[in-house]
Amino acid sequence: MDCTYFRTLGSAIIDGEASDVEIKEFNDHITTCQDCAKWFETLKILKTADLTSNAPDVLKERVIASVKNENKKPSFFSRFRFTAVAAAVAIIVFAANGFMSSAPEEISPQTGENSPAVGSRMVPPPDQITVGNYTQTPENIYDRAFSYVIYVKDTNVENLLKDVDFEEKNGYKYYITNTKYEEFSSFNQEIIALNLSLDAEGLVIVNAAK
Amino acid sequence: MSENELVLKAKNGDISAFETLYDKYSGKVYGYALRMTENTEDALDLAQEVFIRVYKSLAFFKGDSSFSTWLYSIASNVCIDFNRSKNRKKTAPLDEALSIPDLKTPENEFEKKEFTQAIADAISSLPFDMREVIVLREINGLSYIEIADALDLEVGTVKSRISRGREKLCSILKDYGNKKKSFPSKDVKGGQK
Repeated sequence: MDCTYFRTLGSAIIDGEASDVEIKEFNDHITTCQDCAKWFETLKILKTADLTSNAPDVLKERVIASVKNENKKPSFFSRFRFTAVAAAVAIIVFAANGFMSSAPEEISPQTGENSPAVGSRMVPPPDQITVGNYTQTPENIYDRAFSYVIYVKDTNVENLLKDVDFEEKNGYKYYITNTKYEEFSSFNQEIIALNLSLDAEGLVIVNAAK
Repeated sequence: MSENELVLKAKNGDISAFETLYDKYSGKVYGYALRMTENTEDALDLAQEVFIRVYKSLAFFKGDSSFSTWLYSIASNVCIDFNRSKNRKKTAPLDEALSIPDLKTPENEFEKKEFTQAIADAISSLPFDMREVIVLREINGLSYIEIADALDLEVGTVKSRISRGREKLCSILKDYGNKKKSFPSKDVKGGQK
């Protein structure tokens, strides 16, 4: 008899992950299989070992010092803007009632102040973005306060977002995430939703909604 | 203060909130790192990298999973990177036969310490995929679903991988069992009976 199946059941029972039916099935089996009965007893003994460890104090010192240091660094958005500057791209911000209808307010990436962005151009966002179970359209983007979608095609920006889930569509990576309001409040007190995109010519587009 | 509130505060740069989260998870993350790296210096570096990456990524924590699941998924990624860069030592060879060691519950502090060390050493020599699920289960106390979420695996895969990991552990512990007993442990061939 191949006992692999029953050993998997025994292992799950030890972890409290087996159903009543599985427990009965295993118990019936070990009445006739001494090896699995012994296996189960051995697992119980293994389970008694206390393998937890206390982290040494020096770890906390190192982590907190690093975190404090992180707080002194420029914010994500500042870093993004630096990346954008390095790439010599223009950032366009659409404010107020929606990026499809309102007049664009152009902002210089170097200063963050209003100024004409020579050579910049708009690239309309896709009609619909689906990330996981969530579908984002221009109509409902404003419903999700403190959230935004970033669609980028820029390695530097992707590096900043390497821990964020994404889906690839039409050559773009779509990220959706919650973010902290402060990241954007220094840029614009009213911004609660933001889209970034990069067109085929390397132009970064920021679509922001109040 | 709830964990969600702490996460929100930490997201906004509140270091004392992050410190509270650190205090809650430091033992588990360090324990995970210790079992995955086998030495205290590497474990320190790995655990530090995990917490720093957690802090830097907090702005992107969506809250779709629990904070702990998200933290362990980061720990797993850091660990994979670590293993890649260190070109880790070889693991114990795979043995098709199931060996059940003759173990007995340790009766005193000395035996307990020896027993725990033997198991810790055995875990360290498990192949990476088995070691990871065993550590998350035994040290971090994660449920199968939580492990599946953290490692992006099917629950069934977690279940069978833990079972196979335990079989392998028994095989590695055979010598320890023999040493503790006056008679040799019995080998059972490949689950055949």
